[in-house]
This record gives sequence, C-alpha cells and structure tokens, in this order.
Amino acid sequence: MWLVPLTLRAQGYYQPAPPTVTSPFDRYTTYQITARYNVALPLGDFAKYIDRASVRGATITGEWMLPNRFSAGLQVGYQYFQQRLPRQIYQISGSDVSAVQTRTFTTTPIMAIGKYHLANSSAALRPYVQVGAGGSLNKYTNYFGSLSDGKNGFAFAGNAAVGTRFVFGRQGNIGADFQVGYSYNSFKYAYMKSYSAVNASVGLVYRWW
Amino acid sequence: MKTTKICFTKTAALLLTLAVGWAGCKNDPIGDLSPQDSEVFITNHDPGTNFSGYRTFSVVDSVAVLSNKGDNRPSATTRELIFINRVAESLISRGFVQVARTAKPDLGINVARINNSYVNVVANNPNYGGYGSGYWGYGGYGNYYYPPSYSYYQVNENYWYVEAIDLKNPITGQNGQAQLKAVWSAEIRGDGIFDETSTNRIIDAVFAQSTYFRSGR
Repeated sequence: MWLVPLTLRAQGYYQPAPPTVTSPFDRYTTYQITARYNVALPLGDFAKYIDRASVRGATITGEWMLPNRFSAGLQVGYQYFQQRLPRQIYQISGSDVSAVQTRTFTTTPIMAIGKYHLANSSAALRPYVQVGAGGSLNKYTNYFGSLSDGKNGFAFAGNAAVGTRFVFGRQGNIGADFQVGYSYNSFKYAYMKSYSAVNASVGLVYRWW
Repeated sequence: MKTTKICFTKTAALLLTLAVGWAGCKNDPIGDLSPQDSEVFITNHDPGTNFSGYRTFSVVDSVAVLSNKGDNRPSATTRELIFINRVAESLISRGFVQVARTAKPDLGINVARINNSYVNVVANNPNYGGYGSGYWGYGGYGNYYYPPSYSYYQVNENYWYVEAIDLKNPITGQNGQAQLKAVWSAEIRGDGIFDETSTNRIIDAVFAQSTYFRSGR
C-alpha cells in the first residue's frame, strides 16, 4: 500500500507541504523571567565615596518576548556597597570629627527595560543589547564609629547593557543569561554627587508561552 | 491550561527562593566594629578665639550628669575624678596654670556625662542647665553662648562632654544680657568610654586634635 504514494512522489505527481518547524517562540508573544546575581564596581563620583566592588546584588526581570527581535519588561534590582576607612579627622560644618568611617550605599532600581535581540526568539544562543529607565530607591548611611549620618531618597535611574541568553534545548523553558552593563542614578548627598557603576551578572532564565 | 499552572508554581518557587535569599543577607555594617573603633571624638572651637591669650584655668570639682529628662545632678565617683584630673593634666601640659575657682581663672572647664535619649538626631547645644554661670561666680549671667558653627550630634546614648568657658571676656548676648562664651567643646562617644582604662586615651585624643588649644605663656 505505502509503495504507491512513494512511487507517485518520486515521479513528481504528489508534493506534500514541508512539515511546520517554526517554534511557538517565533510565532507568539511569549514570557520570560530572569533572576540574576550581580556584582558591581563603582565608577566616577560614586567611587570617591566607595571604591570597593560590591558582591551583594540581585536582579529580577519579567519580559514580554515579541515574535520579532524585540522584548520589553520590568526590572527590579538590588545592590549593596560597603567600605570601612581607617581612623581619620574630618572637618564637618566647623567641627573636627575623628572617627572610623563605615560607608554604605544601597540602590534598588525599578526600571522599564527594552531589548533588541541579535537572533530569533527560538535561537539557543540569543545575544542582545538592553536599555532601561526608571527610578531607584537609595539608602546612604555613613557610620562615624557607631553614629550614623545618611539619607534615603528616590532618584532617576538608567542602565545600558549587552548580554546573551542561552537556552538549554531549542524548545527548552530553562536557560542561563550573562550580562555586563553600566548603571546610573542621580542620587546626591554628602560625599556622593551621583551613582554610577559597571555591573556583571549571571542569571537563570525561565520562559513559557 | 495544565502548562500554565506548572509555570506559575515554578515562578512562585523562584520568587520565594529569591525572597528567602534576600532576607538571609541582611546587612549589619558596624556589627564587627571594635569598641576602640567605635569611638568618635568631636571637637569645636570658636574660630575667633586666640587661645594663647589665656593663662589660668579651673576645672569643676564634680561631673555634671545631664539628661534631657531633667534629672540633672553632680557626681564625683572615682572614675569621674580620674577623668577630671586627666583633663587638668592635659591643660597643664599645654602651658596653662591651674588655679582655684575663686582665683578668677581665665578659663572655666565644665565636664559632663550626658545621658540623653532622643529618638531623633537634633542639632542643638547641650543643656548645661543648672550648672551654668553661677558656679563660676557670674550669678547674673544667662546661659552660655555657643558660637553658631558648633554642631552637636545627639542620639540615644551616653557620652562625655567637656567645654572651656571664657571667664575673662564676658560678652553681651542678643537680648542684651551678659553671657559667657564657650570657646572650646569636646564630645567623646562610643562603646567602652566609661571604662577607667580608656580615660587617658580618650582625653588625649581630643586634645591631640585640638592643636590650637595652647597657652601663650
């Protein structure tokens, strides 16, 4: 029985459509959540307050992955910096203050982000460029011995990054993400004129449709 | 339908893991600070004062225990007398001569232990209250005058407070009342500052950072 169509096809009488292989990730708007561990290195004016790298950071991102090369989403992050300075005398509003300073800064950026991807949604390796804008909740606390001086405040925040996602299996739901970027926010207080840092992160990706 | 449900569970698990991790790394930046590193020495002085113009001083005979609750009292325990003594020694080593309170000293030295329990940090001068001008034989004078550049860091804690009052040059205050000016003040804060063993070190520290505080004799 099966010999008949085979024969017909071979003779060019019957040509079936090629099987559909397009991934649903290329056909629909799908969803993606990424949880990241970040490290950050202070830059510029911020480095005058704290120049030690932070290894305490995390970011969570939720995205709508469009069937084309774009995606958009929301991102919440956290980064904590700390540095201790040996005893020194500081001139503060007319007073001479001798103290061991423990400088701390926490930034919690909340941003809308957009990405342009350099490969299709279903690609196993999918590099991208990212920009983000929003605000950051900041906490500046500078301890003089056990006394503290500080300010909590909201400031404009932005970021730019390049990265790549790698999914385990072409249709897989789980993947990894690597990213390096730059972040900024306009927080200003005492020793700080603004916040800026270079970030690097590794993330766990979950996507679904 | 089934797929969506599984996804939700996984997402929730991921968020929960993150939240637990977050709470687990609560920061305690000064938890590892040694008592000595916790010490803060704050000194103020009147920029218009030339300390070489003073020759003699007298120190209070007891420490004023001051608090914002109003239960101010004098106290002269051994450790407080050791403290007063070291302050006097430091001034003698700076060229000043110690005299009796009644011998018209140029500088009056007040020593206090402040016992405040403010919830907020306020910028204010310490309330030297009942231990004011009267002790120095200036009965009709008002409260001491503190130059506006002085800053005080008041929080919920106890600290030593030492000040030098100019008894030589009384000034006229804003309301026309005669006042005595505080030309120097020092606050000593931190853990372990009330231990007798740290007395010399903490007093030496405030004088070390007040190089201008020296008699011209």
